[in-house]
Amino acid sequence: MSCLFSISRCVRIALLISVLSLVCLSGSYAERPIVGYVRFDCLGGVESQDTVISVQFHRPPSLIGRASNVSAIAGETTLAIQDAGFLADSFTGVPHYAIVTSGTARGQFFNVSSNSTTEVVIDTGSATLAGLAAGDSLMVIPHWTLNTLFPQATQTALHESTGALPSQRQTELHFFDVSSKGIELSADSVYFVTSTGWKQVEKGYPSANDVVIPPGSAMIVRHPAGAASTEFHAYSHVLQSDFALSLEADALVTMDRTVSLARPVPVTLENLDLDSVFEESATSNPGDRKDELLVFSTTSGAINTLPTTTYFRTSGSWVLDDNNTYPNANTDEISAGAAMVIRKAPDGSGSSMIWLNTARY
Amino acid sequence: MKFFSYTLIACLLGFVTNAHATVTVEIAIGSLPDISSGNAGILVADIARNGFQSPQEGVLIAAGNSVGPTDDLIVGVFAAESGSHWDGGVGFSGILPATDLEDLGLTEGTPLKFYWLPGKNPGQVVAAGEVWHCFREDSAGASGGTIGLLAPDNYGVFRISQLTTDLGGDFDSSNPANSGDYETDGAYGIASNVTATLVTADNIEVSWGAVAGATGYRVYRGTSPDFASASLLQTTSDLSFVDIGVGTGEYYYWIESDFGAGSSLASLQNAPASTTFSSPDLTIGKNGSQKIGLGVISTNPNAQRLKILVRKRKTGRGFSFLNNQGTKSGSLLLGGSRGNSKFKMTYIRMTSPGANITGAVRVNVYQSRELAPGESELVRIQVKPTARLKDRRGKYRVNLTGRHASLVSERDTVRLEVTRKP
Repeated sequence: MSCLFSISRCVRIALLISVLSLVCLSGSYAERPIVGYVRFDCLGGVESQDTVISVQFHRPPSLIGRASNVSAIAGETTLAIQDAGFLADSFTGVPHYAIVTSGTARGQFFNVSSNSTTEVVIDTGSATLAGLAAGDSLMVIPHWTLNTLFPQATQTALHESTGALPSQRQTELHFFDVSSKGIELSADSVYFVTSTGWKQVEKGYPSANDVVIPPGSAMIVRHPAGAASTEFHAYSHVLQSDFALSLEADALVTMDRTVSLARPVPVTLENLDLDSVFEESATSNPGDRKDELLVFSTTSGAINTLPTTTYFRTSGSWVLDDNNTYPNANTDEISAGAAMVIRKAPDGSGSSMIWLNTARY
Repeated sequence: MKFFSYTLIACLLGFVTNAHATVTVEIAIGSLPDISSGNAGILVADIARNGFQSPQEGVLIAAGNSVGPTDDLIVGVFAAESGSHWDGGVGFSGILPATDLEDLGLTEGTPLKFYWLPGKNPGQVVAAGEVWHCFREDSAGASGGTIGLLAPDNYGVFRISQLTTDLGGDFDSSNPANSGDYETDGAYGIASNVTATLVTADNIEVSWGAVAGATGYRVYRGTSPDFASASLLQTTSDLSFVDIGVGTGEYYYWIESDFGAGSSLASLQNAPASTTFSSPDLTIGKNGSQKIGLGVISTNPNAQRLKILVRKRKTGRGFSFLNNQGTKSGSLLLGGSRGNSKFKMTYIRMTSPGANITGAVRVNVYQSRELAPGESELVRIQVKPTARLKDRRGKYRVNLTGRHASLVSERDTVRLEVTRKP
């Protein structure tokens, strides 16, 4: 079965859904995977152009299984896997993450720090995984890296640079800053691809082939002036489970977090499931504004542009901030792959929360 | 006890997180002359847009510091490297990530300058005389930059790049001035051991140590530690200067070394020296009285003079003031000033009856020892009036208190009790 969605003038997104009978990777817990495909048109032109992209698919899991036991110590949780059949350290040579696909902690994902033949240790950092329990299902999935998402030899999304220097630079890939406090955070790391692989804009232009692209990330493809448009084809496995992202509010400072929902289909605002972690505004008055959802344009093309559409919640509904009538926006759609900024108003204490989006396909 | 104190104010500028937008700036500048791998390059912003001050002695090469006690802020520090991309040369590559320019005081268009310091690495301190080079160019040019050396709008990813022609740019490293504004010099030293001393009632002496290479010094005075409050007092080639006639208050002094004509970067400031000239804590007269006969403590808060009038008694008609006998109206026969722990009295002795005071007096000064809190000292001033000023009994009248006037004879002693407040 396949579906084609025409999303916008400049970004055409095709979703090919195919139910395949793949080999079970670990006992009887493998799902029938759905694979999909999304295409972004990365704009080129006389002037330098930016296109915000994201990845809605994950790589084929290395493990689909179920936890038989869960034990947690500070910063780490060890998961004993039922019917384990994997090699020690097989999830660490290539960076992997484990995503919980059932139970209270479903949707949450953590990097794998080590594994034996029967156990997987995940790095939970300061997060708590109290909801994770024996019997919960999970997948261990290799992270996308620059060289797996954009293989130097075959990728066509980015114009290859002939060297590291700006005079030789072609397309750049910018990663948004997801760690600083404040709003309107620019991308804070820049990469480009050459004939010898991916490089980072940093002292000495070090190799960046293995730089991880975490789930839920958004990126900017920046074509230089005079470059032709390109296409970015994202395709792989569709996440069929719920998907969770950690959000933070600061005590005093408004915080932005740029994200992309790992869904290869448009999602209405009311189906984002953000309401439980979204502070509503008392009225539409800008002075009462609390949390906001800002959405990047997929058609702008100009460089260094901020999100163009702003939503907020009031009286239990999503509202478009048109600075005039503030129409109801519950059924407004976020395009597949669109990048968003979740702007958390200061809450006086600083708190973390989990945004859990339910899969509806 | 001290009449003065001085304070060295370090110029500290910090990065403060705030809810503003950020920018990311890539730097790619090379290959450059006179630089080795590991040496420092700094991106400096002229925050006040009043011209750049060059790096000077004592500057710590770290982001957030100033290149001197000026507005010129180091917004980024880079270490030179010699990767193959520089084709055998040395250059600076790196990124200045997630910087809130607004928080640093930069606005769009704030001039930037790139300095490189041969032999000096990031985190080190610049010594006097150490060579620096600097370059600025507003145009992004043909080197792949997206901005020139001007601060961008406060959101997005930008690139400052100056590359030599063999690296695909248009930068002439053999003669950088061909490609933009280029300067080189040695780091200027700053005046050291700057002190400000209250030498008399309202005179402050500022002194400092010699600065190698300086051809002169400019003395600035302000009323706050901010140099912006200062104004030029004097240009001198000496190593001290007396600021005459200051009033009560707190004063800060800066010494700006002049390194000669022909250089727009010829001057720099040291950290200020301050002197507090505060209200005195001495009382004069019995029981702490502020009034001594007809003499009063000046009501001028900037003067703090004790005026004691000695007057001649006119026969049958009361008294006449000595200033009717030859001194200028308003002049002092006896005057004193009070510091914070010492008492100083300047007294005038007439030498030529009826003459103008400017040509007919001698001025002597008495200064007490330093008093401890609560301690008193009896000050004796010997009065030597001339014969013409004597009354019929050969006495001069000096009122020490309104009620206890006493007559003094020639060579009699005026007694003042000076007490420091507890």
